[in-house]
Amino acid sequence: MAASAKRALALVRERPGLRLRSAVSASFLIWVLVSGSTRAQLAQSVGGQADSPSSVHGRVLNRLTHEPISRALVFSPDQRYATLTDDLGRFEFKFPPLVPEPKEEQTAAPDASVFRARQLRMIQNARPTFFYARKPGFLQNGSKPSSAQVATNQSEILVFLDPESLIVGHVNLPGSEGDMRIRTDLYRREFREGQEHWDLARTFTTWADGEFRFSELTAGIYKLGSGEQLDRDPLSFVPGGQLFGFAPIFYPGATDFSVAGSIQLGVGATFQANLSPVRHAYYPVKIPIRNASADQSISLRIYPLGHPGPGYSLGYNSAEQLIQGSLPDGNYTVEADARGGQSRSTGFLNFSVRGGPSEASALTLIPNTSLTATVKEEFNSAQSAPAVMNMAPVDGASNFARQRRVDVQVTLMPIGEFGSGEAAASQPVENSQDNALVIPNVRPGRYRVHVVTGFGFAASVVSGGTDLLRQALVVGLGGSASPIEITVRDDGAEVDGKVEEATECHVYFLPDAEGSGQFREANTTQDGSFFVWQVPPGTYRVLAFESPQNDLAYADAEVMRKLESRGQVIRVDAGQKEHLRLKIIPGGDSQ
Amino acid sequence: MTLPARTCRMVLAILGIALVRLSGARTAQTQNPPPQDASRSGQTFKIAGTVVSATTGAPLSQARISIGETRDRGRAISMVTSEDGHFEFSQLKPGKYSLQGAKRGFISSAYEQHEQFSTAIVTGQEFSTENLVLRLTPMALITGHVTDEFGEPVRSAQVTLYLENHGGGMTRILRFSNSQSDDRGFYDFSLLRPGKYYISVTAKPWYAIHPTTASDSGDRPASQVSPALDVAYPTTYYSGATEADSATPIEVKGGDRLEIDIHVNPVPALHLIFRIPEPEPDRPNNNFTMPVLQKHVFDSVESVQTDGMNSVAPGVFELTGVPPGRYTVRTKNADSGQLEQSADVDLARDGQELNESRGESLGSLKLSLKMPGDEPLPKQYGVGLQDSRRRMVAFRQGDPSGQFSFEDLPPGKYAILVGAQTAYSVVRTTSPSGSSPGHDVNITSGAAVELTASLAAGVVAVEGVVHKKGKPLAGIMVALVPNDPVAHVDLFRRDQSDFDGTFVLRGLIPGSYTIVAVEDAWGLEWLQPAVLARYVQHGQNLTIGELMRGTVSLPDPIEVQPH
Repeated sequence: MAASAKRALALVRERPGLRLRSAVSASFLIWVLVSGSTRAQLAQSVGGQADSPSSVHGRVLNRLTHEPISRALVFSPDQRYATLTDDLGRFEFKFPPLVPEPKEEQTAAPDASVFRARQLRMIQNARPTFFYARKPGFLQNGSKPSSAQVATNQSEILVFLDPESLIVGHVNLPGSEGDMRIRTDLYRREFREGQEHWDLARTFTTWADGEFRFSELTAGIYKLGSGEQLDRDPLSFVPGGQLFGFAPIFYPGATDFSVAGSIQLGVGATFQANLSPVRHAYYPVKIPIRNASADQSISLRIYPLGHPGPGYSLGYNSAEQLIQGSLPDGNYTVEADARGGQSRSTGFLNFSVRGGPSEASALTLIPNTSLTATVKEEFNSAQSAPAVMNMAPVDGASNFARQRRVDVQVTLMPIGEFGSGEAAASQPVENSQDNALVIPNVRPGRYRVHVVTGFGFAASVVSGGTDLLRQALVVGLGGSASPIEITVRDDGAEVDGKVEEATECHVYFLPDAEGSGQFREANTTQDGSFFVWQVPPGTYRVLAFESPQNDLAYADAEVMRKLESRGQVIRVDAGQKEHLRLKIIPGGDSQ
Repeated sequence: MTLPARTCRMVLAILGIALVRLSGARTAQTQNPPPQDASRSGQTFKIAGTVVSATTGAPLSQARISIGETRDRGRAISMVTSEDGHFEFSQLKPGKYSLQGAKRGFISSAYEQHEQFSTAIVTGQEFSTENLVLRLTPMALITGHVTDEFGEPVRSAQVTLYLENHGGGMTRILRFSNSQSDDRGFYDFSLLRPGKYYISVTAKPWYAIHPTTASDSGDRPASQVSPALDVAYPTTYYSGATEADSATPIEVKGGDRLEIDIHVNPVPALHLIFRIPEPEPDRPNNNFTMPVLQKHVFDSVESVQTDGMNSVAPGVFELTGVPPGRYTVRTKNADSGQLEQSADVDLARDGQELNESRGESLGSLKLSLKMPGDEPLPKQYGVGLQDSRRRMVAFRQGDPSGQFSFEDLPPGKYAILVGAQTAYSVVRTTSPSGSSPGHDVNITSGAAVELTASLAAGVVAVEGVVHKKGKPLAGIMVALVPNDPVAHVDLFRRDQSDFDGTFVLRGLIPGSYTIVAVEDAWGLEWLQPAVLARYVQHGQNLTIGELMRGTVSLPDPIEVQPH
């Protein structure tokens, strides 16, 4: 296959900035490739050729035990083919004979009826190229697609379903008589830019007896907590009197999310977890916001002093510009995020509650920072530098100015185990002479700087002497930050390769922690080949997996050490062409 | 206790019988003055008694009991009952007190509470207030499992609880709560008060597949899917009915723990056809909406979720996954652009055309409010339309313009209702074609009605006392019945007599009324003309004049009529 064809077929992409699991789970179910590519199969069908299989058969199996799954639904994406498996997990689809193209149609001048007939024949002759399967008790998302190529009618298609995992248990509220429901929150460990991050995965309001059940979970690492709840037992709940409430608690008994235990949930496992929230006296809290304006909407986060995490909440009284609510004794941080019109601002305040109403000093909102970034292009090959003609005459002059396209996107990804997860993205500066970008409304915090280039690669990203390819960008409250200087080069390495004895799989380039490399990933074609270009010079560990690895914590030195015996290490220099042969890592587990 | 100093008294003859007291402070609740000698002597009184379970009669310890003067509810005092369920408040001045009890697992309740009414305790020498019995009803719980035709749990089933409601003088079955089944098919409803409930389950078979089968001209290839998979669960009511009218009621008593399992069974899903007219050069085809299926569920109309709509040919759509049943179909008429709603139609046949179930065009109403006198509009208010079954079919928050617009109204008669801090009623509607008394508006098929609604404010209160055989009686329902009650439902006022037989009816709109007092009348369907007619003939007549303000004291007691 010619290199250009490879390029066309291989799906190469940089790791997207924000990886959302929901994007994966939006598509349903395990899928199985029956034969060839969709395009090839359709071409065959439409052409009416006789080598198209007249039937397919297969089995649906439990991925964990490899036992057959009876009464599972197997269906084609267009829902024209569907059946339930038998007691041995077997299914079969018989395809109707292909409808040949009538001779007269080929010769006749095409009109609407001919077009319609062709359309119907195409539908009739279309063969499903893969199937979905589902059954209660098994996961409905295809997190680990399995593929089986069917060359002939005889091959058996194996569809693997992952048994669901569950986290179940009770919230024990003292004094409850089956009349107090409480919200439980389940957080899942996700990875962003190779770094651990906890995202709210599900919530479940308990049944009246305190039971909660999270079902249809994927295997992974979770944290579990209960929400705040006012104790309305009439015995102690007197209007205007002392309030009591159940403070957030995190499995197994932590009051602070950051020190909560993690639940390692295996495939098909059921984890039993109980929560026992503690009843505390709650005291009124009032914090004025000094410089809020009426048209601003304010969102608040409250967490134990300096430890961002979920659980506590306070309200905002916009009429009086007052943060209001109640909290138990403790030291807290409140974070206010104000939006209104174009401007956004942020404020932080630490305060304590000590056995009585807390009237903390006022919180001051400070406008968020705008960062600028400049892009310098160091392109070697003349033809590779994409140029656009500036069609607007400059200063009435008739000659067109040759101008480089600013085709660089800078994204600031917040770092932190538990953050708002809100990324800040760059915008081009209008009428800029020097390819400048601006990143407006950057909240104070630590960020990983992610640079996507339309061409080439970001060879260096520096701000005030800090190498942002390797180190975090720290943005202070209202502080001015040095501009980000980006250098784009076009002399990255080209790596092509093949994963042995593999069909479609996923290849990851993990940069050496100390080196100059940058994370890259690629999906292979059907025959296991892949091609990646503009790879920044550096040292990489290259790994190939059957299934996508969304949890590669490559920024974590310890995780990287565990991978030391795996894959292949390469070093690429500028402009180098490298060829790799990789072995697939069995089991698909990078951890 | 004396009335506010600024209160002046004057006598006005209303039908020659009523005494009117004009009060500058309308918000202050008027009380019957306690015996003068008691307040002079500084004598104090007790409110004491026992809290018991309404179901078992057993005394309830650890219940919180609170009392507050009815004129000053913010300053309640409370205590917790002892082991034997006893409570006692002493050192009380003569006055009128509300008495309330609350305990975990029980429904909080005021003394002799019915709907939102209760009997206030009056302290004084002639009242025995030391052996009261306050009954609290334990809450009930319904749990259950939803299972499919194989006895397997149905996950994510929508379970809906309906409650038969007797409030407001008529019986209606309304949606009360909902729950979603978990992986075991389990659901629950807690904190339930006694009553007659119904439960429905809406779910989809996990294995259901609805291939597009419609054929424009018979040449579409047949689907390869077994009919056993092209199925749907009809909304299923306990105990197995698939239409609300055949549902079995669930009688829930205080403290019940009921297990209500519901089984769903698949039926072949319908494939319905909907056509949109072909676009013409002078009329771009963007003036259509997809049909909406609705179902009458008890006293409400609920939208039905369909599985999907697929284009099967130019201008032809197929609606799949719908269980057969009686529906109303809402479509937009492509010619007029108006929404139309069909009468109930049986959808039972594959390939049935939804366009054929064309019905009456929906109407619209533009409304502007006219306040009494030159009063400004209330700061916070809303306007609602109630249909002939007293279902609130539309509601809009009011704004300073006083202009409202209601679209997509099925033809019929509606009552225009206004909600605000002060009571208001629409007393007259005026349109370009004329003016008519009352709050009703008639929307005919496809009509665009424009109305001005003139409001009257309810600024008069009436107080009095009920007697039976010459003695005041507590806990009696007192109703102010307008003339032509059915047309003036919003003019009704009710109260429950207090310990001393007194009652207050507030927010009265000018007009002619009859006041009746009926024993054991709670739960009565008094909005039925025949029910009321029996009592009205023995009631007391009363007319509230346009210029009246303040509180009217009835000089004669209202005689209690037996149920």
